[in-house]
Amino acid sequence: MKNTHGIILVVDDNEINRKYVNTVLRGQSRTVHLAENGFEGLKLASTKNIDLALIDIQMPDMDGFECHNRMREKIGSNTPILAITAYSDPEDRDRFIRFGFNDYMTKPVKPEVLKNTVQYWLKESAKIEKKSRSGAVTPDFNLDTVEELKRYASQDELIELYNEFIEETNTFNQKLLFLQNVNDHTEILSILHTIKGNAGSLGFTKLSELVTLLESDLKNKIDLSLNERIGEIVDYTSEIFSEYATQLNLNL
Amino acid sequence: MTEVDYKKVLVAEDSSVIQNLLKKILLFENCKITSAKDGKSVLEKFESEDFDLIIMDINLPLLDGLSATKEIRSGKTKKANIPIIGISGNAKNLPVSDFFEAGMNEYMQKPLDYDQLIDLVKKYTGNY
Repeated sequence: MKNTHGIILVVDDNEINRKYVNTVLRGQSRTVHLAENGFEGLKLASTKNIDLALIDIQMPDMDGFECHNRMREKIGSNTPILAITAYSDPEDRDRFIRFGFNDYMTKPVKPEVLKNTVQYWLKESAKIEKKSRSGAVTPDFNLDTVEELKRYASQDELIELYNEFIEETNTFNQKLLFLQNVNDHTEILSILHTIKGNAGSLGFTKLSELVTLLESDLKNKIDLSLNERIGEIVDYTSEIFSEYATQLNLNL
Repeated sequence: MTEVDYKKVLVAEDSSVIQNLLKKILLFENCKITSAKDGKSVLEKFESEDFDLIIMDINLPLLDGLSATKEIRSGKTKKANIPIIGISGNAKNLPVSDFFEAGMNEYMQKPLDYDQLIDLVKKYTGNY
């Protein structure tokens, strides 16, 4: 597979770190621009077409968080910004992502890990761009997914798969309705997680999104009416399961 | 097509829907699938048979995909270098670097992008 092209901006006050990152990432159709502080980084971000930014968190004058915010204004939300940090406290894990970074790496970063992570986000950002061009409202189904599947499996096999998914999801829904009464959040989260992956992979975009939202609210212990939300998912599921075959052009 | 032409892929995934989905798609690409539904049985199957590739979910019962990958990579034989493609809904919001740190060669976030997955399978099995 070809390497994804990419122009990468590195903002780090430590010269050795800059050199290290540059050595690992440079080449193979990637270009690396180096900045020794936030101000220089922002200047480069306005003049170059940046595909990905790597920002050190602990910097004097302008720290990585402030640099992230000002960088976002310049390069927009579709361009990945990754934090590099010396923190390794597991409590901090979510902190960067909640702040708005797409991802983060903890120093010391091995060359392979650095290269693979940057590569992953360059590919990912190409996907985000494709998605954001296709509109904002989540449709019930992702027809592209189904078309893709049709290239790799026969009609009969697909129908078998969808039937299995529907059967399993209906069973899960019954379990969810039971579990909400006994307040077993761990088991509920585990089921939601499975439905999310299954639904998304079979092109049930909106179902996957509904489940994802509930999963994250439940995990962050956001005040929610759990019974109502599960009820909503169950109702929505029975609604789309009655019409999916036509929508997805599967001739049953 | 003779038996020899098949590539052997170990798929570690606890969702039977995704298991069957991958089985069908990969069979189309001349891969023969062995399924494992938890991290421990991944290690058992990996020890007792030879595979060309592992597709590993992160969120596995008994032993998660990251620990299973680390376990495989810690082996002293040539087998320890088997390509591993990680797939996950990333329930724990782990940084992507954790997957590579554990020793995975590639990582894909669910929902699966099938074209990309097939490209990766071809890349690592040399099945062009």
